[in-house]
Amino acid sequence: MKILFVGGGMGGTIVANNVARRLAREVREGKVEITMLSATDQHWYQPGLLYVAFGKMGMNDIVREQASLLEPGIQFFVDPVEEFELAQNKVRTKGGVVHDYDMLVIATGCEAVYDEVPGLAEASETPYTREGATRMFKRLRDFEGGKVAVVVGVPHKCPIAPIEITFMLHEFFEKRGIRDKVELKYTYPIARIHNIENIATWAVPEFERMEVDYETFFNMKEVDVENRIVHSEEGTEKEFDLLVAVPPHRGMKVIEDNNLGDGGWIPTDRYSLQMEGHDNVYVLGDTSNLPISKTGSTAHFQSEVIGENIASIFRTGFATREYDGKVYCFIEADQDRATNACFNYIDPPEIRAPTKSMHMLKMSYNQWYWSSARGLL
Amino acid sequence: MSETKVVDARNTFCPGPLMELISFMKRADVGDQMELLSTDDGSANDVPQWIAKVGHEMISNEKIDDVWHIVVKKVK
Amino acid sequence: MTSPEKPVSEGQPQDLAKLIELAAAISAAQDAMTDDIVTRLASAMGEGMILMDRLTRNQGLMSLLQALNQPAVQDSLECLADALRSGSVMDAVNAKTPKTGGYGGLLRMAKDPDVQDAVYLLARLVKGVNPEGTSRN
Repeated sequence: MKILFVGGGMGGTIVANNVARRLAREVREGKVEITMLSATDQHWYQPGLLYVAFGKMGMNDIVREQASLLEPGIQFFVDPVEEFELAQNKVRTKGGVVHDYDMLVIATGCEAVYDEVPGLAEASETPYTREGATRMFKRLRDFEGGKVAVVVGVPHKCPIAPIEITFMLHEFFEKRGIRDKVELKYTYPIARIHNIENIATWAVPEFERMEVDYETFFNMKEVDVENRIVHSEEGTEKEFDLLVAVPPHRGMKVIEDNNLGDGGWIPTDRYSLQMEGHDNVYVLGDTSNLPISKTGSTAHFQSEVIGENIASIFRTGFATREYDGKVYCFIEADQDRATNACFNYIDPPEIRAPTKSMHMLKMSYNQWYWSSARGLL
Repeated sequence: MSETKVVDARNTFCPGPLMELISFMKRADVGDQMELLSTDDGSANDVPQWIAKVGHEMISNEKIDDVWHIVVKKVK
Repeated sequence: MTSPEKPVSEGQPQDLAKLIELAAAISAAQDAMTDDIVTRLASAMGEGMILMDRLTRNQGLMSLLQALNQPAVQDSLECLADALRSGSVMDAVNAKTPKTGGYGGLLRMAKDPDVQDAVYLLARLVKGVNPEGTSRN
């Protein structure tokens, strides 16, 4: 059996390692062939970019060689897919290589896009890209005071980021001793300050304590770069001296170019994680069209389901597990405390008061991530 | 050319039905319709409120067996 | 050891006091821990976990460990360790370094009884490992 993994990010790496571990003997015996195709030979710990943007981590701390993370049984090629021919069970890469498969896992992720909001690229800072995170730290370090506005595009990965960014901005300027010279303004696209009700309920008093001004129902439409004003679809506007953006995202272009999903979001069954209409294709992580959080933890828990099912299908012909919608996210608050949100399709998240222990756990997880990537944790 | 797309946001807490609607609206063409399915009672108010603020059209909003069926149309 | 008849509730105030003490100790430790300390500790733990995982899943290494467990092999290893510690092996190596190399030097080395012993031991070890991977011992 040939199993092909397209995408070497968080999800792709975890699930490929998961399958390689489960079927290690079969791979050695030549009964199973596992191949991974990726656009890059590097593996980035994306949540680390937020720390880079605030000067708490360096770029070198959040990247490793992809090959060093993979189980020995995985054949890894830095040669991204350009064409998907799902009807023939094959893909064609940029290098012109055709890989046929018996089972395919698509984990190509999603990326920040700026073309939807004119002026946003020139006018804003963001922790969402590598160049952005490095640049943002310089801007923050050099900022002497004024209006700082946080704007949020839809959809985006890491749903908690807008809140965390705001907390971190408050703390950063406090530590620099210029918080009294900064007006922090937070905006959010829907009726409350976060899409998870319990988080919004917890965060409002925190914002008030931190003197963060907040406006809801703000969907950015365009940015007047010269006058430093961001306009919303709802007809309101915000002036800024520094604009921090959570940009809107789309699935990778290759997905849309191959008509696998509108906007790059692949239609996926929410329980089996199979691509709609293709029983031998699984979709994992950010690129699915599922109306769930785009986070690393989502990809991790989905990997466990897909990993077990692929092994089970090989051994017995049947899948054995369903994804229950599990997501687990840390939420960094201020003063070295954190809390978490854990939920699934049935149980809503309960937010407990932030503690130092949770912050330590998050700090630890930043290191243990590499064990997760290897399929160990 | 318009089409009604069904977005099933039942039993999801994050990002939630209204954000799913906003995502859809960005990609949709003028004239496209969307039926949003939601088990979140809050969206019965939030969705109409947002539609009104931005200026799209609310076609229908009804609860059938614990599920809200909200049909909206992109008009601009 | 408490007697079986002692009521459960009597032990609790002591247990609770100990729990509070433990919590206070943890809290004190947390106060001391900076992000850097936590990061270093967690990194060591994480890498340690990865290393253990690699080692324990390496079947070759696990087989070698099993072989090394055998008494006869342990005896040989201890002899080797003694020899290394006593310096006699290093003396032998240093003494035998020929002033001139080449074929003559090689012949001189080959005639030495200690060198011959070492070659014989090496040959026995190599013979014990057959290509199919099972030890003769």
